[in-house]
Amino acid sequence: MIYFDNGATSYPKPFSVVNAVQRSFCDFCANPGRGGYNSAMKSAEMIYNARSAAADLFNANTENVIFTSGCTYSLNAAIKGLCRLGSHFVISDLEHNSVVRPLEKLKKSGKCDYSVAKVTPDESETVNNFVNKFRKNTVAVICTLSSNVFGIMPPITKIAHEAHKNGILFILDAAQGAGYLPVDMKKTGADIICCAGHKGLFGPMGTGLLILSKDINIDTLAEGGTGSNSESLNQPVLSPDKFESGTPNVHGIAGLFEGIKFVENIKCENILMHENKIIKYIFDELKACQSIILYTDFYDGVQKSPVLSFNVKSKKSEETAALLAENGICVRGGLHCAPLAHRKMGTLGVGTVRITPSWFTDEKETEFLVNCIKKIAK
Amino acid sequence: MDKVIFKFNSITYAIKAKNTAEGLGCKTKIMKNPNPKKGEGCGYSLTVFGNADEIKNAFDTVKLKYTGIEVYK
Repeated sequence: MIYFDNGATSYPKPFSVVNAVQRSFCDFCANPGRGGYNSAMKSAEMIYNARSAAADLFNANTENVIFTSGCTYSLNAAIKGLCRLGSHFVISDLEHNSVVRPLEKLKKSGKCDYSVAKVTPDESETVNNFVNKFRKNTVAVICTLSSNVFGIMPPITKIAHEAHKNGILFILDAAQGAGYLPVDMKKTGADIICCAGHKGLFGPMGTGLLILSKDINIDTLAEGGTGSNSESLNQPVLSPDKFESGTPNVHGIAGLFEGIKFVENIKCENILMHENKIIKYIFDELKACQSIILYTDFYDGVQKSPVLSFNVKSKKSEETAALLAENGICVRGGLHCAPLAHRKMGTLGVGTVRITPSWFTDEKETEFLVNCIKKIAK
Repeated sequence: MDKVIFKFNSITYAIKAKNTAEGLGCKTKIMKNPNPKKGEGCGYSLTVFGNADEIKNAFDTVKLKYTGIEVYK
């Protein structure tokens, strides 16, 4: 199998991650934060250390790192937790359905409204497009770190700065990018970071992070047992307990912890450099083919992440992806759960074939991919 | 040397406190709060051996929230 679908979930996982998950069934067999016996404390210590490692990676406070089931849950928690009757949100025109669908549902139920700001190659224009959408009742801007389809990176720090000037929170969707694009909570100005644990952070599927920059008044999405304040019928008010009801995904978190350590060890910058090298090679090779359509230019001076979308002119994206699958190549065709981004780029009808490499992708695999695409495009 | 018992509602804060105290070179022990008072159900206690004022200052610096403290000189 030649895997180029790391945008969906990373594969392979580092051995340390696989081993940690396997070992966790013995090493961390007890429920953390409930009992006081040794094995329960051992689970709790591991969870704390994982939380602390995530906090270090994003330059956040340990207690403000919340483990979730994935970025979708994190975004739902942030959006629905901030939404009050009459609230307004501003999002970019690159957002994933995990942002758009919760907002659309809230809008249809009459609870909130949202506006879509256009991202352009001109940073100032993009920032102005966001500012022009701000209203008196805007509570948050939600913006992707990197488009999961086209790799386009909105100027998040500048958008966050303008949001704050207007008393608006900034939520960063770092599903695509966390792990290979360095994200510093304080430097970016993000009030909330939502990210997946199983993509660039190399954790198991079913893991994600919700990170708060401070005590933000977010309502809870779920309530229940937290192992703390148990005689109270009310949900605890302190993070992370407030947002982590029920038994945590200990085995997933054990793997995610090792994934974060793996990223910290190699460094985001080196992972990015490796993936960029691969994507630029593919871009250069495919650009020379007249029967292939590329949607982004890696040499136009606009910062992009290592995500490449293309189409073979005579074929639908799903057809091309299926032909590549016959050669053992894993890529994703279609709309990638991001209809806004496809509408923006004029690909809503056909979708695109998306290539997303990882730290483990090598030159031989990349050459094979390029050769297969060229054969299909002939 | 003082024996200081801090009480926490949450295991996260108890472990953060433990790490902070151990950073000062103190010996520590976390256990379930053995004698919970009203409002302290299911909490944890951290026993620290060291200078009580120094430990409290260190906890204040990292904004650690504890629900109770007992100092034995």
